[in-house]
Amino acid sequence: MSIELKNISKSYGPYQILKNIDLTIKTGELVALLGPSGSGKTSLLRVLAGLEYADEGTILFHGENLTDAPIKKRKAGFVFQHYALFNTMTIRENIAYGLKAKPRRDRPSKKEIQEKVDQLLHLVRLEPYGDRYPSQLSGGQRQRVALARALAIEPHILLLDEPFGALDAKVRKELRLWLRRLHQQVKMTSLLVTHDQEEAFEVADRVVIINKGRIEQVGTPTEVYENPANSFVYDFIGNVNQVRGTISDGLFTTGAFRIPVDTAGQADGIAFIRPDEFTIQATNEQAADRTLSATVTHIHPSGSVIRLELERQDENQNLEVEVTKREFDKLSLSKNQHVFLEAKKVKVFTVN
Amino acid sequence: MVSQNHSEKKTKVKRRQIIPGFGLSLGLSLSYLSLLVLIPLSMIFIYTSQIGWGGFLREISQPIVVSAYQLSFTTALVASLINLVFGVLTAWVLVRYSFPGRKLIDGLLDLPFALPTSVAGITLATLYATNGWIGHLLPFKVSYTQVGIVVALILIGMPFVVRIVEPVLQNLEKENEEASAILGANRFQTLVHVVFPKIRLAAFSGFALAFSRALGEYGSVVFIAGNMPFKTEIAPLVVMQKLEAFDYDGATSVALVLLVASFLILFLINFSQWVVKRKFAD
Amino acid sequence: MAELSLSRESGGFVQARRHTGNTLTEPVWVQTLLTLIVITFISLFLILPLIFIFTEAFQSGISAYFASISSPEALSSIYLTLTVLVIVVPINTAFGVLLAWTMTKYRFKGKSLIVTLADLPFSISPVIGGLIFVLLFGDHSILGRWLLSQNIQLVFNTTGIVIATLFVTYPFVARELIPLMENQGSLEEEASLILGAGTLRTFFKITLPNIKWGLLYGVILCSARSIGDFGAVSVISGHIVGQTNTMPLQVEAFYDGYQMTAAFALSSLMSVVAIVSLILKSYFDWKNTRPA
Repeated sequence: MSIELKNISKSYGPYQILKNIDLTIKTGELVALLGPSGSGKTSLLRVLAGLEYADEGTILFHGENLTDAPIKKRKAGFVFQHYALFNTMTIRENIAYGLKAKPRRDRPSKKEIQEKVDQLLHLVRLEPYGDRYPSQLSGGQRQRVALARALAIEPHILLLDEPFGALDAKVRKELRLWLRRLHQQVKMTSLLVTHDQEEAFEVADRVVIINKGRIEQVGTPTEVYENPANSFVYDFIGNVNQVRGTISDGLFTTGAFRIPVDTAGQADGIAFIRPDEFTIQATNEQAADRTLSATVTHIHPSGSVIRLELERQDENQNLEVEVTKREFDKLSLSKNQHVFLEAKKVKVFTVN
Repeated sequence: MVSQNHSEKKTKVKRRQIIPGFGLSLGLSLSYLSLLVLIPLSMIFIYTSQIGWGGFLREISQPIVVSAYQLSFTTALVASLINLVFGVLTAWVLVRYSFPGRKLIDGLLDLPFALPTSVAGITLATLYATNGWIGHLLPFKVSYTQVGIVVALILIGMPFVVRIVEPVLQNLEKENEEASAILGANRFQTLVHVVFPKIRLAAFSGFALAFSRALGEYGSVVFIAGNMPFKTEIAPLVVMQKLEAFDYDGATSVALVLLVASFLILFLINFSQWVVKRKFAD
Repeated sequence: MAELSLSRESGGFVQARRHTGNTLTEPVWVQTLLTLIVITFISLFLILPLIFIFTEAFQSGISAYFASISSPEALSSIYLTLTVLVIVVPINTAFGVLLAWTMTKYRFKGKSLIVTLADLPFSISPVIGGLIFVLLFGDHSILGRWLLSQNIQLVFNTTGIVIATLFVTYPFVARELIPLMENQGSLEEEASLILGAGTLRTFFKITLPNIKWGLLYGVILCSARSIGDFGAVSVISGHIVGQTNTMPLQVEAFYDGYQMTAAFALSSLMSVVAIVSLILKSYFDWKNTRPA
């Protein structure tokens, strides 16, 4: 089942939280909606589920217009951040709820419901816990129950609202690998809302970056990471050094650092350089143009990647650089040492 | 599946409800509220408008009515101020201290809500009579005086402040007080500057509700008051007596003032809560 | 360590709660003083009167007690009060739940106005609660005159008492439920709808189990007020002995007739109901706050 969103807008009073959203999700795809909190990503998901209504725009499920359809018609599975399990029911009753709620002619027999529940308990690996109550399970287990409950009604699409947001880091990591495998198994069109880029990149086929109610970029994780469409995405996806400078005559300049850019005319610009996209040199022999001179102020020597903090010599700015352990040893860097940083990859955006 | 062209146009939709059944729920609720509460209450206004402004003023400016209003307002005010002080104190003691019988006292506090007012009335009247258990110990008369009215109003208004302040105190973050202590404030300063501002609104709401309740109270007061005109006759009793004398103009006019007072108090409570919510909203 | 264990908080009459070893509280003498003041205040206004009711009721012995609560007047008042109770409480429970549901599960403008209006019967004088129905159903209104011309008498009889009691007990259930349901939010209801359930199933399977203890407490308060209302019923009953006296009115009649034992005996019955209500309330509170 494919999903098409056309020109979706929504406001709460004076605040416009969704601005002309256009998005197509292909059948069987797992798409992550990634954005900072307050970006509108959860609202978009709730609009899809029918838990909110858009002020404007059209929602098509497999070509069928469901913009104004009530929740029931959409046949969406929804997993809430805080589980929303029914506290007064056992795990089995929670999972069976959607099946029992079907109109009589579609409702499976008691035995079929039992079998289905068994099957789902197996799928989420919670067979021994069927007769417990939600309060007796851990957060990760509860979220798996929520997923089983959502899958029970065989939804056409699966919507997950920060499903792992309330869990601790280790469980979160486990569950997202598990979700990835589960998705490969059932191949259901799925939309995952998250503010955690690692999670989005690890799980999703495609990532939608959303900010202030607008889509900033859509692409596969590699595309988005390698080629951020604008300064927001660059900043939001991972760590990045931002070096301010000026653009004139097709050249971005800051201090002694200069590189050619496509932009014509005069403007202020920001160069984005990721910490692992520097080469450190003790002396400035070649490629002087692409080089920043800096002093090492701090070394974080933990793990296979060494993180360095440096201060530029020409400007009062701190830089962050990552080098492999091997390279670090080779250079035998120490605090207060003066080095040259050659930027291997730079992306310059103009500042308006 | 193919005929989706008609849906391409922008659809401007009004705000709808997520759970079906809004119209029916609201319709039934409002109909019942109107039939049972609003339409009957509007009778007071309709009837008074038939008497006319002059007639209304004449009715409520009778000396006996004026003195009843004064008595009702004064006794209600005194009783609810006492309840304000003891209510905050009781809530504090119940939430913060542990002592034998705490649970019992906490449970008993709702008694004035559960006990019929006439039962409370005859009990207090007999207890505080000059030959009663408490009355004979006191150097002054309580039953059949204005003091007696205040005693009855204290009893029926007791739970309001406690019950509103209690949960606020329970939810108070201990860290605030700790921060204040660490910053060098003594206990008294902490209570005045940190704790008190947090329970102010709740305490005021409780006080206002107790006052409103006391203003209209009838059952518990009539037995202990003695009901002497100009001395111990409260406004609701005046309404009752005018009714018994078939003086509907008088009864309705006197009642209108009480009703408007209740409206104003409710409005004041809601307004102050609204102001505070706006001020501290995230 | 040894010094710490010499804490002066051990063994006193009053102790700071929940933060044993915490220095952040009032001096012990202040705690004790405040607690004693509160206990005295409560004893004087609540405990002593309660004891007094039973003492007075049994003053002339147990047989006199039973004789007075089985007198025809007492019995008919008990019967009338119970009749009113079984009519009023179910109706107001249903509409109270409906009002709380409407106010907490839907978004619309003017909500706080409706809640305020619905709360009016709680804060206005009960005498007004009686008066308005005398005005509405007596010959002072178009409706009243029409009703009387049709020989339909809605005041000064049992119907009038039922209507007035409906009025004064109207807010209790919703008052109890609205804050509770606001706190709970609608997450579980949303989950239920997404799983394909309709409104009724969602209400009965999801909402109702979540609010049942609060609801029961609301019903208890509604019942207590229904039994105990005096002002509104006084106005509307017209004081016809043996016919339209509810228990509180009968208490008044006994008291005015200097039948003290009978007055307090009947009072003691209602006090028992009040005490049972309070016990149930504590139980419901405990159930409500206990993790499921």
